[in-house]
Amino acid sequence: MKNRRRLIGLAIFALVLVAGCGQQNATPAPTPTPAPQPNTSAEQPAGPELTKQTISVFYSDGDLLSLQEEKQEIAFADDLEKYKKAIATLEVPKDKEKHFPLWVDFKYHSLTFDKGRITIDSDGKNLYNLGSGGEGMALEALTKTLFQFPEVESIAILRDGEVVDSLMGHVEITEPFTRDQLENK
Amino acid sequence: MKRSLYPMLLMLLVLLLIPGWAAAATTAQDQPVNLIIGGQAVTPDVPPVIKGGRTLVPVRVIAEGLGAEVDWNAEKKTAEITRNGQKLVLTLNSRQAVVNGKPVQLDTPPVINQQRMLLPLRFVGESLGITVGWENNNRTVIANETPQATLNGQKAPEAVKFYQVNDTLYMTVQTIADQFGLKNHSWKRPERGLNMDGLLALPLDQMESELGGTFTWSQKKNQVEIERISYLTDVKQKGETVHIQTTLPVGSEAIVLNGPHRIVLDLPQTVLDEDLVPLSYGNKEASTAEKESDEADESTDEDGQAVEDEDQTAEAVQADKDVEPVQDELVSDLRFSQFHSSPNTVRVVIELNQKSKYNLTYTDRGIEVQLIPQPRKTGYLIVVDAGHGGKDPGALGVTGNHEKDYTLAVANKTVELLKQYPEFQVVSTRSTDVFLELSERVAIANDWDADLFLSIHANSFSNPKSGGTESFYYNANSKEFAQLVHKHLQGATGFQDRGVKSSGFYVIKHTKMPAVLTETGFLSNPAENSKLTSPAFQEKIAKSLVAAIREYYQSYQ
Repeated sequence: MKNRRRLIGLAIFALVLVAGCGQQNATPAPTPTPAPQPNTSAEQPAGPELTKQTISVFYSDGDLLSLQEEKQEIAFADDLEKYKKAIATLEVPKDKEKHFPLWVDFKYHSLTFDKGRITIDSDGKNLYNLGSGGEGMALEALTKTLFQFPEVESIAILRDGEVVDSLMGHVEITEPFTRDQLENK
Repeated sequence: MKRSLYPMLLMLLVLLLIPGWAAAATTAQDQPVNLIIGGQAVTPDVPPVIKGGRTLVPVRVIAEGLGAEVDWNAEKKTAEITRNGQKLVLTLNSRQAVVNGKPVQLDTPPVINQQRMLLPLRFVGESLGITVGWENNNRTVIANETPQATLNGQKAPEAVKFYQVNDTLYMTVQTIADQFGLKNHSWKRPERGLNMDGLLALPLDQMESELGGTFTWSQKKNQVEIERISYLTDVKQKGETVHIQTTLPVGSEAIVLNGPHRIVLDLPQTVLDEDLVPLSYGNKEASTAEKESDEADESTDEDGQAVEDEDQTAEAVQADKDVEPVQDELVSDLRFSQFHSSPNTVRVVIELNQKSKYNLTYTDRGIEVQLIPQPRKTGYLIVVDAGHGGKDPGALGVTGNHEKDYTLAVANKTVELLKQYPEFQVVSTRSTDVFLELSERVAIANDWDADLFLSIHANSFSNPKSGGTESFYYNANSKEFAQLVHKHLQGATGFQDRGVKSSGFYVIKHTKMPAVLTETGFLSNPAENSKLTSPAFQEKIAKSLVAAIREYYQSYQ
């Protein structure tokens, strides 16, 4: 009899555990995303098959007056790598005579994609050698390049994990960039 | 007897075999689920179970404990529950339920356990107007009649929940403290309370010692009356502090209004003290209304009170404290009034001669408003902003020079020149090599209510041949200023004219006054950089900026 009670108690208890401890709504713990290495470019000979895609990338003209478009081919294993390769391509124009990169040696801690939003956590040690107009063009080049992928709805840029007023001291980045903003420009 | 154990053992085994659950099982403590219904501990023959986060209890508990009638239809496998005109139909193993004829989705369906039908207690209880809560510390489900609760004569908000344990009634504390504006109130004796659905609930007598006022529960009628009116006894100014004195603690967020500058606080559940305004109270209407409410039956007690309150609204009590209207005084006027009487709200207005920030301190005796007067504008106010600074060097010049040094040199020179004009009041965002967030720069200009904002920058690009002077504005009120600045600046540099452009850079977007950001020239262009680093050239730039401001002031003021 005693044993039975104990067992019933145990069984109830087990059920309680299954129920996720009573009435409180158990919210799933956010799964930490492993921080990807910035600018992964190492070719893996035995790696998975890479998708190739020709994309538009944007640079400045020689006078920092207007964006110049180039078509370049990138190869990637997954979407995250696609975004990273696209960003990396912003630093290397094919036409080095006429096209000047707006991004030079841009490092970031992580790039993540969630529900249509790309979040780039930039490295606070980056030095950007641009004035206000240049920063405006650089961010336009970055957002235009990433928004060509239809799944991207918004782009958030952080510095060392935090929301900051600005990346280079001129353009506001407190709110994520959205597709509409770009189209309204 | 023995045989009945096997399914259970099997179930346990299954549970333990599933990874994760087994791990949890080893760390948890063996605790049953307790039931307290109508204040009494109940031990049903079939113990309650928790499924999908919901407690299921035998039908009998619901029938007897909650005083509901339960009809079991064996054919349809439905339980029909009725109580005080509320009707609920649940079907075994089905998530579909019907409440007063309307279909409702259950998260956990009724199940059969040990030949007893188990029903989801919270759903059934709440559908029947019963309060059901989960006490996490003691793993207890508490269910009881929902009392009729009034707060200062008006129906208490739904969010205020009451739970009965034996002859003690507990209530959720923060939900009531919110009514008095006491946000995140710190409770003296939380250990006397229950943790109901994650919220602290304290016994009513403890509430009295925590918050003051009276909290009475008539167990027979199942009515709770909370009387907690705070009286405003005085509003007085002492230096830069305004003391708002109340008989009980109240909280209030201040609202800031301009033209004239005012700080406004609405004190919830507060009335003006009779001594403060002798004419405002003890009126006949109120007592008449009270009589009227007495005639009504007991359940309309709160309505009766509402009538009384409406009558008081007509009073529109307003009082003025005598503060000498001296022009130089920080506070020009103190006012208070019975702003609302249903619910009772007192409004205190601190009118100021000059813009002022404030800190609020909530005490047992009221609210202290510490005024922090902002520097007063005395002339045509120009904010000069040297771009970048401190940890942000800005762009890098070809000789290793930094943009932040150029901008500071020109800004400081500009400030010195502007100060020579008595009609100008000049404020710099930084006069040394310090870092400021862009939002701080904007706040300086907006807080000062500046007339002009000028941000000084220098450009850079990877092509050393790029060069020129450009000026930016964003808001429509800034275009003329931008054109003037650019005309003078480009004239002074003699660099390529890159023009006046519109772009939403942070400091020119969020400042309210005409605002311009200038890029004097390119630090990445060797010829321009050598000029930009020369003090004489910097002086020339500063003079051109001052000339632009002078021309703007003369043309547009």
